[in-house]
Amino acid sequence: MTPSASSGSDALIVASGLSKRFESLIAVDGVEFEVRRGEVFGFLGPNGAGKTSTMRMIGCTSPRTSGELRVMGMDPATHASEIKARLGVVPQADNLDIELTVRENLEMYARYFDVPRDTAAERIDELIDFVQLRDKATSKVDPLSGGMKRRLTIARALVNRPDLILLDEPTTGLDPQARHLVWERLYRLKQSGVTLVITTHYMDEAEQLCDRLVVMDKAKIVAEGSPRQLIERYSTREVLELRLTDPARKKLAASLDGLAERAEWLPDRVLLYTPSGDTALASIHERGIETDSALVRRATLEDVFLTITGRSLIE
Amino acid sequence: MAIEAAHASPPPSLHRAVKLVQRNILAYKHYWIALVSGFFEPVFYLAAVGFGVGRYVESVPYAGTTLDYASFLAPGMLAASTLNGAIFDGFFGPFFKLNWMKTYDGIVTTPMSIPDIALGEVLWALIRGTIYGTGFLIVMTALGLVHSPWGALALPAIMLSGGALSAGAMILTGVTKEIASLEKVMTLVVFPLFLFSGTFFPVSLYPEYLRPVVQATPLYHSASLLRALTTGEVGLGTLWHVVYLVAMLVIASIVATRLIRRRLIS
Ligand SMILES: Nc1ncnc2c1ncn2[C@@H]1O[C@H](COP(=O)(O)OP(=O)(O)OP(=O)(O)O)[C@@H](O)[C@H]1O
Ligand SMILES: [Mg+2]
Repeated sequence: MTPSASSGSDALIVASGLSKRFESLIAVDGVEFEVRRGEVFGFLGPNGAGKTSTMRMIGCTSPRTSGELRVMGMDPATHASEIKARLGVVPQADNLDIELTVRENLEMYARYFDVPRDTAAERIDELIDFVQLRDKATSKVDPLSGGMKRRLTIARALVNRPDLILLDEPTTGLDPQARHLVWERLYRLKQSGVTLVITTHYMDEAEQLCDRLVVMDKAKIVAEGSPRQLIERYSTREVLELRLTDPARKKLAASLDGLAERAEWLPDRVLLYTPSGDTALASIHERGIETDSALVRRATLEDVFLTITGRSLIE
Repeated sequence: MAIEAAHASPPPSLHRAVKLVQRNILAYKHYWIALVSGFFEPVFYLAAVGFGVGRYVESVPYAGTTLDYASFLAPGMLAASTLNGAIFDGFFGPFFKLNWMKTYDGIVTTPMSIPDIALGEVLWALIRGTIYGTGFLIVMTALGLVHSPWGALALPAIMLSGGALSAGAMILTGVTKEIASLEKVMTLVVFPLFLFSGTFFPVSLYPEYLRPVVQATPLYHSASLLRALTTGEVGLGTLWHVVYLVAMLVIASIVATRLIRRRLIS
């Protein structure tokens, strides 16, 4: 009676009206999304938006309060073990087994997943190389650096050759080298057909890795699409960043007409959203406004994120 | 609510629980000294109290007759050694794995369920308790403190006692969060249990009204059962101890699993 794979469609995860409530606090409020086989799907959103809560419901370690959820065609409420057998999980907070060595961590997880011993030994060797921890293989986990622990956690999530991997902020706290290593590894996994669900606060990471993503804010999904689509929908092609003296700022405010689709007045900068930054800058100079510094750049996912979720920290 | 209820996972699988035992064996390879030391504690007590203090105690009233003090104390210490093991492996170990090392948070992302983990910990505690118990039983036999062939049944009795007490200790894991509670539990629960459960002196020495209290404690049943077996004073009453410990094993396992689930799955 085990429902196999997904019901006809290519959706590996289907959620509708999915909610999670902690006593009086609503952490996830009726979200709806679909993750397709083989894609990298991202959850973005400010702290406390409900990303981890959603990931934990998918990972069968947190029961949903209401709504529907199917993971690989199965219901986490009734088929947790079957789902978890095909899942790899990189949690937001490392929970490696600190009483064991690097290699033993992988060996034990291989056993939890019932990977046959010979297969496990071979796979663990590969994984240790994959995350470049060869010379730490016999070290205990505690003395490893944060980045090494993170890489080991990623290797651990692969020990059962999962079809679906949940990565909750996989690169937070990593140095640029390690982040690039992780990105490259994740990309290789995607190439091999694994489906990845990832949360991150790094917009460049999301832009590079995600085929599609949703932005969560205050327990709800507020935007959805590919990084390109989102930029097109919520931003202009380019952004002109200006630093101005106070008088110049006032002057610009008075003669903003036709310069940009939208302007954002930050304490230290003014951002003008425009199809062409160079044209806008030329007109500003024509209007006799002095700029201390001016930078024309392409709009990024970060602009979209800040537009959608606002700049202030609302806890 | 209906969905949360559906999450009540199926009963534990022995196959998976054993993996947690393997995990603990692997971890203990790194701390084998701690493993060995657990054996000596009851032996030290027997030596100091049984043969030291025992020299000044002529005999102890027991089962209508009297018993030399060392023979009375030894099964009590045997029971206490299973309590020791239970506290170490059913309480301290899981406490740190649950609250500090977050070991279980990782394990529950695999096909291992919380009942699997709980059963695994009880099994492990039971195995370790049995190893200690066996060692102590050998010492007792060598010292001539086992007076009956019934003594052979002390081994399964040790396992039962270890299992029941470990399951009880797991309840403590489920209700404690702070380091400070470890100390509280030790001074307010474990130590009184160790001293006053008919381990060091017979329950008949208590005033009438206190006896039912002592006789309600698990260590009393464990000590009485083992004493009945090593002295050969086995009767129908002995069966009652077995029933008590089996019931405790089952009920405490279920309660502990629920409590720990509440801490892990939110
Ligand atoms: N176990 C819990 N008990 C009570 N409240 C919780 C629990 N877990 C999360 N919450 C609350 O649910 C809300 C959403 O938290 P969640 O961890 O899902 O956010 P997040 O989007 O992952 O944030 P971050 O980016 O900071 O990791 C928060 O208000 C949080 O305090
Ligand atoms: Mg989070």
